[in-house]
Amino acid sequence: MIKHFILLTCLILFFNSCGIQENKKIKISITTWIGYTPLFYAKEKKWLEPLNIKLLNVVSLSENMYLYKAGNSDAYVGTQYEYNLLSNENKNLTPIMLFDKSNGGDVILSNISIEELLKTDKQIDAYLEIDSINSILLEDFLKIYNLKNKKINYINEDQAYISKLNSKDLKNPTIIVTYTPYNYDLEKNGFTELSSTKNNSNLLVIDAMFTNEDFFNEHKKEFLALKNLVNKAVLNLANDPKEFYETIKLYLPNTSYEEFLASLNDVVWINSNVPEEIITKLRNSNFKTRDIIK
Amino acid sequence: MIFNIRRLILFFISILVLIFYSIFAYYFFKQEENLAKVILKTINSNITETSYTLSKNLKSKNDVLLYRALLDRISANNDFISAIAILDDDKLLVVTDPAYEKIDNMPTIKKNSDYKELMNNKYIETDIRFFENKEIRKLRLVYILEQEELTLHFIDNKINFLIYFGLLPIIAFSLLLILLRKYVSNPLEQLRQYAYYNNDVPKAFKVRELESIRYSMVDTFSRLESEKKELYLMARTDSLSGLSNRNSLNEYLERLILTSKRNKKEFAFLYLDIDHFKSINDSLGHNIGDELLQNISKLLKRILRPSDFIARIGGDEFVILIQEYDSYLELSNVINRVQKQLSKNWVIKTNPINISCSIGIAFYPKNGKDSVSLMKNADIAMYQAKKLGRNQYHFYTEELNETVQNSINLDKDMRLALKNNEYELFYQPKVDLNNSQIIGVEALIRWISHKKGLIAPNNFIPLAEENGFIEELGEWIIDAALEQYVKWREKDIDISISINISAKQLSKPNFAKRFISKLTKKAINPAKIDIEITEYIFIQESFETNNNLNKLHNFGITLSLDDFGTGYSSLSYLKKFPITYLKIDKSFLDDYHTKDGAIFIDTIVKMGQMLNIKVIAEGIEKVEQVEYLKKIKCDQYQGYYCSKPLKAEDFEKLYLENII
Repeated sequence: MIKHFILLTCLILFFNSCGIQENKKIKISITTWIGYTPLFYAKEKKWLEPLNIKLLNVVSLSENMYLYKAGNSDAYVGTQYEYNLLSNENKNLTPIMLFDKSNGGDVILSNISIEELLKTDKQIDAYLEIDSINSILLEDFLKIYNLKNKKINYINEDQAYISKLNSKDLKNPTIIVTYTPYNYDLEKNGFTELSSTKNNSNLLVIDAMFTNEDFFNEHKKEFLALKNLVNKAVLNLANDPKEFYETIKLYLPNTSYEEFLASLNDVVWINSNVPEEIITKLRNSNFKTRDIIK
Repeated sequence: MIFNIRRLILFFISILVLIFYSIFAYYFFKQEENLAKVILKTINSNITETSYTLSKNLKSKNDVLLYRALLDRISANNDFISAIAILDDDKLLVVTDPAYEKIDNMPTIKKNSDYKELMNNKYIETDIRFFENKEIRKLRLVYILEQEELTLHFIDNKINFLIYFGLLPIIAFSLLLILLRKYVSNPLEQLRQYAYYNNDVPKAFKVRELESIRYSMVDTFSRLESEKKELYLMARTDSLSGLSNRNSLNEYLERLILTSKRNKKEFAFLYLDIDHFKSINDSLGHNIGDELLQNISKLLKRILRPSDFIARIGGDEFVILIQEYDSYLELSNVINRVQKQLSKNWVIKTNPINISCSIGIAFYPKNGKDSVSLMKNADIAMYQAKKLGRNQYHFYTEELNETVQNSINLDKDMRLALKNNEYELFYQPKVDLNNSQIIGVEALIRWISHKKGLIAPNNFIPLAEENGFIEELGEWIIDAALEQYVKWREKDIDISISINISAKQLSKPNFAKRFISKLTKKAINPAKIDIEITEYIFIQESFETNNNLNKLHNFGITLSLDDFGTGYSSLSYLKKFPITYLKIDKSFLDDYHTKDGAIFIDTIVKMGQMLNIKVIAEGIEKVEQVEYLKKIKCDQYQGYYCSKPLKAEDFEKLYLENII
């Protein structure tokens, strides 16, 4: 009777636990960028549900990074800049997945031409996400076009805010550092492109996913599966860009199909078959490559 | 109401479990409610704060897009918020997760329970009030709840509760139950069983108090057991002699009668009384008498076999039960041994004493079927022995007494006869049916007693077989027969001699060797010697018998199977043993003239021919029998038609007449 009692109680508890037990979700913070659309595609296709992965969508790269830093996400996407910033504090941070190399996707816009910028004595307002690759791009731009001596007023805003700026409302000469697809809104609002990663061969901007080494090892199976899904999404994009666009257009506000197609030219996919040259370059800039899922 | 201790413990633990889990359930639901309250309050505070921030900063409806990052951050930082949306009435102005294209109008469900409210509401909503110029505007701020995350969170909570407050107490209670069972209830049950059945002694317990009880019980039971044994022995043992007493005899006898009845077996009840024992007591004192009885008891124990039962049932009266004996002669030997040993000169405390005993014998079941009648009849027989002069034994019936006495006398006379050369061999011719020539003889023993004249073999051979004298007599027969053969050989009487050999002789390991040695010494052709055996030998078949028969056959001696057809007549014997001659018993030949009788004779002869075994017909008395045997092509015959068994010199005459 005692044995029956113990057995029955344990069975009740066991089945109760089994019925309700579910693994914690893997939370990946992500921002709106053409290079990350394969993740949105996977989400919309409901491929992420079996892997128990949740995407946290924020509007800036730095917000992405801070979410991860605050422990509210398990992995985040970003460029080498966001990686370098955090890796100084977190030695276990490691890149695990590459998405794309910016090939014009990161853009510098202005309400006046480069010549006017060079001539002006006024203070130049520079809108950017300071804690992101935007800073590097701006520094590089100022250096190339000898604008270092100009009086620059750095305005730190996220891209959701920046993308709503209108050139008519601005009185000062203005430089905007943005990226696809936010540039389309800004160009519609009267800004013109001065420079991009396409015409700066020295500047390597790659987009990747980062997480803690321990977390990666613990969830390797899920990340490997996610990598396959990204590859599949990129393949679908190549085969049927229209279908891809229709699936993810909610995540690209105010972006037409044509603009979407144009923005694809601004990135080079490096999710698979990463050129050795890029790997070497990354390695040379203290970017860990050993955990990158090939 | 009486409780089993195990059930009692289980009952108390069940009550404890019930109380504990009632409290557990109460706190679990309360804690779940509190948790829901905290989450709800946090979300409500958050939405109020966001609403306030937006209210203070918004200048127009279009400005909401500028606060997308703020909303993203709030949504991403809160696990329970799936997305945040701002609506102008039902028009979606901004949403942090574009997957929500439309926000349904769902009334907020207010419930008594925060938990139910949290789990059943899809959204939490508040208003954003701001001024556009001087006009007050109102937008809807909606927090879309992450139901999956909420469920998961409460599940986590439930699991933790179940593990820490559900499973662990069960393990603890189970452990407590196991410990109580192992160290308390099981030992108590073992003690109960030990007290009740008194069989297996429990091993030492770990709990000191229980161990003390166990030790005391074991000690008490051991003492009781030894006292019981002592009492049992006292009740069944004669204190003076150490032998069994009358009670023990009666118990043993009851069992023995039942066993013997079942096995249909006889046993002997001996009533032994020391002659004139009273005079020893009277003249030398009771102490001497007692010591003498003790010594007699020891002697009886020593000389009797373990299977025999001895009891002292009175002053100088003993009862002996004997089960293992093959014959009355063997029994009388045992009795003789007892009487002989008892009649030795005893010296008790320097007093020389001569005693004798009288023994009365009764048999179960023929002289009594119960202990009372056996005792009474053996007692009568004992008094008869006393009456006849003491120092002797007597059977209950005169007839049996006479039979046993005759056997004993015959045994004595038979052995004496050998010493006195009263045995003689007679020879009966064997005639070849083809040419009517005597080709051999069968040596037959005859006892010509000086007192009683000729005693037929059937009067003494069975007893000789029974008491083993046959071995001694058999040796004499072999020697005499071989001696006679040599004598005839010297007289050119060329015949073979058949010698009857008993089963006991053949079962002796060296029989064949000794027999062959005798033949070799006398340079006798083994082919001229034939050994006659009966089927009885095969029934008592042993390795030695087979070995001896094979050795004799291999040496060249022929084997005759006597009295064929009267016993088992198994064909397997003929296959297994090297038989040269089959002797058809006289009883078959007496019926030769009947159809049924002739069939048997004919069959045996034909079988012999088929198996290459010669057939000898016994007991031939008429010429018609001879003619019949010739007709069926029997090989030889033996019988009064040719001649009765003759003394050696008479046979010589017959032989010589026959060959002329």
